[in-house]
Amino acid sequence: MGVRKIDLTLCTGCGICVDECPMDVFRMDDGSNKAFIKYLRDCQSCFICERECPEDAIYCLPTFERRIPDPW
Amino acid sequence: MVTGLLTRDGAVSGAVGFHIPSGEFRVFGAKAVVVAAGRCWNKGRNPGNRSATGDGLALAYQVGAELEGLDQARWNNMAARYDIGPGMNMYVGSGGFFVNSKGERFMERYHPELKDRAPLNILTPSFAMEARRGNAPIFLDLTHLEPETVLRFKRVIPMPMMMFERVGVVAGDRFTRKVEWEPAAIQCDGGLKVNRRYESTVSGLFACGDAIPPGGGEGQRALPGAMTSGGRAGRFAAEHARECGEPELEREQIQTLREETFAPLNRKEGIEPDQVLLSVQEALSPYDVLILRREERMERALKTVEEIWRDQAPLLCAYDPHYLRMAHEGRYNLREDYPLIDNESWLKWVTVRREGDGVKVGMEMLPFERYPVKPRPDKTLHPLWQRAADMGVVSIDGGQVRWA
Repeated sequence: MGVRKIDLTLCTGCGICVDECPMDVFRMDDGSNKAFIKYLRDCQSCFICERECPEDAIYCLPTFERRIPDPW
Repeated sequence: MVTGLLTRDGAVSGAVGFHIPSGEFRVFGAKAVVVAAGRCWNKGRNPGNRSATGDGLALAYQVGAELEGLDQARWNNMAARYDIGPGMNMYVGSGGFFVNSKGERFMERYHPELKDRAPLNILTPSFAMEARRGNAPIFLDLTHLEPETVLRFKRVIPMPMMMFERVGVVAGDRFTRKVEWEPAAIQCDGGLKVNRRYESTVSGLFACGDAIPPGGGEGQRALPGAMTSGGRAGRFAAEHARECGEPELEREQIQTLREETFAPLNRKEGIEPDQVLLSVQEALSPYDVLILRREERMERALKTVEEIWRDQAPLLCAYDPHYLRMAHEGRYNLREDYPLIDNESWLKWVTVRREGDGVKVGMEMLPFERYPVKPRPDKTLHPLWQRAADMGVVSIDGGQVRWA
């Protein structure tokens, strides 16, 4: 739930984020051959995409996109 | 993603699944199958663990495998408002402490010796007791830590520290404010019941790592245990496969599993998976259902889950194959109506298996004769209830906890 943006000026369309994301959050846009965030609510803030992106094109924030009930 | 196991004459003969990006259906014939995907979290607060939805256990259950230890669960505690993961043990081990909404350091009441460094099975119920007394929310206070301690955190656990910096909780070498802290994900400790060859109760179906309960082998959950059990399960599965003929697949069974797998794609106007997940979490997440338990509240929550299963699950829809991933949930236990730790009656493994359309629950004695250290067969008041009674917060009356 933390991936915030992909800088398309830096994205080279290598597809590493698509392959590495354990939650299947990314897809490739056939037209531009760039990655995009398709399933934001499934992001689990592991930051793997940001760490693995060779172009430093991905930025994450550790915030919740999906409401998780509080215990009290 | 695997969505079903194939069987023939009561033995596993393969698996089916689909390629998530394309939705292409796949069939795998196999002489032996090793379930390595396990662990049920409830997709709650715990970064990096939201894909642990118990799919492997569910698939095995569907073909009749016996599961064990689903009644056992563990907590973790996490930042409540930030999606930031591990580090709590290091924080409290380095001088961090918890305070309640009144600013009181409360853990010394519940575990005078270890205080904030108490184990999770004491820490989390202590949070809940503070909530029950009207003292929630709980905060982790790290603002007093010296710069060298914060810099050490940055060296040892750089990821969570970087995340805290991104939201302004850490600036340079200081924590700038207290962090609200809550019981987080609920980890179900159950798994497939296996023998010492890591074979389940279904022929040809093996399991390892997170897919088996910690009591089912030699401590399987941590990385060394997962690697050991994985290696051994693979070896025994290979031995089994060597003695088997080629798997025979039933076309009709494959077709049925295919239809079940893709059924949500045909319901474009149904209920989103998130809605069902949230409904289940709302029913099970309250601390007085899950942490401080009483039978009537548990029954109420169970009834709600059954209603969700009856009313919402059949209408689950999926816009594309990404949404065909399953969810699961797990539990923990501190009972108001059964406050004793009862070694006489409950040092048993609770097993579950499918029987027709219902669930067959059984119990099995632990093999104490094999254990070099044997637990005392007695009944003792849970130490947290004892502490609460000593504090005058509760009384124990007729075997029941009464709140003051």
